[in-house]
Amino acid sequence: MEYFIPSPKKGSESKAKVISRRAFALTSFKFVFLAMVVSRLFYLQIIKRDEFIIKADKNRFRKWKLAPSRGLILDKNDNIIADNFQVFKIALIPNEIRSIDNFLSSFSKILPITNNEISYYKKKYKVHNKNLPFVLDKNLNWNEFSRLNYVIHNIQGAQPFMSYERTYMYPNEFAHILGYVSTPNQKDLNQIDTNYAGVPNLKVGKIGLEKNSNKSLLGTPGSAIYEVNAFGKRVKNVEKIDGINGSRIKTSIDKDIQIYAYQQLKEKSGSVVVMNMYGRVLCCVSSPSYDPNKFTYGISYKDYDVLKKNEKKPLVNKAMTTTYPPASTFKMIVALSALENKIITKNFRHTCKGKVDLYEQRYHCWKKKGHGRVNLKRAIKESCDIYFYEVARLLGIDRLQKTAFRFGLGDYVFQDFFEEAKGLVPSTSWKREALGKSWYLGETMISGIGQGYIKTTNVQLCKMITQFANGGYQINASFFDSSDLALGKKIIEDDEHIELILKSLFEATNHPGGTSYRSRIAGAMKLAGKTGTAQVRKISESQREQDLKNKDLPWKFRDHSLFTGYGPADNPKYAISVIIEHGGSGSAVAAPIARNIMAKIFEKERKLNNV
Amino acid sequence: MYRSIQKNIFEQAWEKIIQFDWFFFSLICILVCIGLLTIHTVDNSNSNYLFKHFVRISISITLFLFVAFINIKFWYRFAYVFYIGIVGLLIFVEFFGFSALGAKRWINLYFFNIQPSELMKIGVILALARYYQYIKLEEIDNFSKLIIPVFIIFIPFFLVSSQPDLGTGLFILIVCLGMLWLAGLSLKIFITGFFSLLILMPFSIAFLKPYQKERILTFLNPENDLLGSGYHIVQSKIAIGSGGFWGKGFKQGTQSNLEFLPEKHTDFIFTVFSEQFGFFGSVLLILLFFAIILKILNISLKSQNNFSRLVCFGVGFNIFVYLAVNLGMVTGLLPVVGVPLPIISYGGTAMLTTMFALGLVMSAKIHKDHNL
Repeated sequence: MEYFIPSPKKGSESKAKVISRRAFALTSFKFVFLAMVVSRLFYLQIIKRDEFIIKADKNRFRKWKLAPSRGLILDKNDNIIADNFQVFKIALIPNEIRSIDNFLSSFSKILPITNNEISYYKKKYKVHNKNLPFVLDKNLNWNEFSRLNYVIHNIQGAQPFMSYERTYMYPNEFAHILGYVSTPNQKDLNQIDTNYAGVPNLKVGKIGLEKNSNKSLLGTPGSAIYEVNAFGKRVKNVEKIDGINGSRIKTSIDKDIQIYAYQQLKEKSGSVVVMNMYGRVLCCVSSPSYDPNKFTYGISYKDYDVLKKNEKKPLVNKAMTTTYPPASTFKMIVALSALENKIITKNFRHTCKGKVDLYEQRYHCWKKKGHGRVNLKRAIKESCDIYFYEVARLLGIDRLQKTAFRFGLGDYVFQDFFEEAKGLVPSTSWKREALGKSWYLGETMISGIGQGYIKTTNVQLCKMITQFANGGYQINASFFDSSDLALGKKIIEDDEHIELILKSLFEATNHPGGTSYRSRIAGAMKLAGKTGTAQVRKISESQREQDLKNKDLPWKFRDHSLFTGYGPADNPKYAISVIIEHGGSGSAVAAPIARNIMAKIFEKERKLNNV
Repeated sequence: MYRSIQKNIFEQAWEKIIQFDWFFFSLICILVCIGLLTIHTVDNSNSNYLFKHFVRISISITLFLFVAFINIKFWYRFAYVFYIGIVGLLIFVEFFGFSALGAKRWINLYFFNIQPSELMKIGVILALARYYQYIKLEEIDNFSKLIIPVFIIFIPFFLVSSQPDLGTGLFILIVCLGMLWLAGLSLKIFITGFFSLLILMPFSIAFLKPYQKERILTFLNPENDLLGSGYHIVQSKIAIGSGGFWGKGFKQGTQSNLEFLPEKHTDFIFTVFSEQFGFFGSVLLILLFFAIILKILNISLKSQNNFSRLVCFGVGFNIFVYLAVNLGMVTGLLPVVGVPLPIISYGGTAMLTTMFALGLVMSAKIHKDHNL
């Protein structure tokens, strides 16, 4: 230290020497600094090198995901029922913009947008999942798109892209079965692969087949890596990976039948399901319907409210989601169960006087005067309630449940249809567990005519009648067309039983006195089937005295009208199940609709055979 | 006898050329070439930086040679005149200068915009060297002998700071303190000065402009404001760091090519260089600068008079401060203050000033045997 601090007072040193010494001191300070800078460079360029290389690449590379085209959905004759069209759109990347206001104001300089739109986007952006690109609901034409592409780098975080939008060719007719697509929520994203994150304008199936087959319809997103400069302008394409378009799905649905069935259901609330003998669904219509195209862009609250408030519930798939008492269509199961359990023989007879008093309760037949002495065949043909009360009473609910389960009632018909309901087939143990009460014998009796706790969906009824019509073989119902047709295992014990029941069904439709005789089809191909009229309210004795007609009641208290049948009767190929909510009696409403649809199918079949 | 002493003009010129330090000159030329090369990598067809830079270099080297061959005696005699002239320019700038970015700094000379505050860095060196030439070592700490230096230092400091350009003001102050230290002012005075400054610090913060405060805050935490002022530091660090040991290669710097680097041809030129040539190139460049600084030290030690000595040290220190502040800034060790890298950076006045200063050093070398 003494060396650097001159003591000029001593006068022993020259000024030049002082200057030189201090210059040395300063120079050593400079070397300290040199060491500092070099070590700083060492830290940045050697130690932290990899980290900074990643950061530099993050600066200059932008990865844009490219939405694949969603798979088409075809009907069994290769008609397209769900298509895509190309759209040009703008997305904004939430983490790259400063604020939505900022973005929209600079965006409006390039493409005019109204104040209404601005406030709409702001509102929508607030609830938007910020991990996903936010797509502006604006379809651009090619001119706008190319102009935008040219200047877009001036707007931070904007991404113009080309994408595909779902469109349904027959929106109302296929609404429930196809479902619709919409912007995914977090739950939807969790279900699909992670590389779908960040795909602009990604739409996933929300319901129906679109949801059921979402994974194969989606395809694989492509990606493009661009080198961009600091202003976001693309400098060059680095890598482009083409996505794989979603695979097309061929359904077993016949477009013509579906449309015809929908027309038959016009103004009514109900559903029709048609299957072939292997369980391939030919038609699955629910009415009233809605326009699923509206959901693609996110339906407006107003439109949604109208749909939601409609008492006929257009959004609900009545073929799968709504459950109904099967009513008289359940009598085949009761008959079969009783025969198989040897409770009755096929010659078992019982007298119907129109009503019966049992367990301190009066049970009525639909026919006030009674059917007189009836055997099984006539009981089915004329749908005698008293006969089936008696059979059910002898059979008991638990054995009945087993048979019903075997035919697929009370269980899902399709795989992975989240909107499908399971229905319910009661038993004594079910009631104890679910309701904590013991079973009453009276409840067994009304179960015998498909009323009470029992609830089935229309597709279950269709599956049930199909399994009767195909000779008692289990089927695997599905919406997908496939050449691999095979029947499952046999679920009945004796062919004779089935033959008897089928014969009864044939007579019910084709012999005078049968419940659906008025809905018979003339010609070689005949329809066979069973009507059902499901009460939705308890009829008190006084009301019974008044003999209220259905049409005098408010709509929601009227009976459901059901029909399950198959045809051609001599060589069953198709099974049909019709449910009209609050439609009235099965023979008056559901049976004629089933007849019309079956006639249409037969007509098609004839044409096909002639050619 | 008389003839032999009174040398003719050719003999004089020849003597000067013999004394000319070719090593020093070639060091400068190498740095100039590195500057040209680096400017070339950030040049594009619109900016035409390379050509403009080349023109400025030509003018600056001419100036360097001109100053180098003028006898150091001349600068001794006209040191105060030079200083007062620049103070006059600073006052002129206050009234007639045109402003940019909220500060009045430039004088428009039609072909050239001149920044008197840059020239002041040489002005104070010359004036202080002149003043301390004949001050005796015994008297140097006397209060009466401190009055004139204080005026020499603080007149330009306040004029420049009020432009406002606090950065250059502080720069001048630091160079002056270096000069005082070299002149032999005792350590006691520095320590007293340092502590009084420390006490004054909180009060002086109140006088800072908002953007100056922001810069200091940004320096303390650059990652806070990624798209604002911190952007510069962050991007510069990314560019330097991603260069690695050997660099990305000539013209391969992605950070500079894709415009992520701000001010890349001026203040951040080192970053551009470092990204392309890596740790290896950067250290080599810094060593070149230190070679120049050491050469200046060497020249000053060989000088026969204290004026030359002080001028040389002052110039060396000036270049060092430039280098230190610039490198500190681009590597994130110091806050962002607009200081160019000497000799390399694109920019008129700084280039001229630096070459002028180096010319003075060369002059001291050539005329080392001359008496004042």
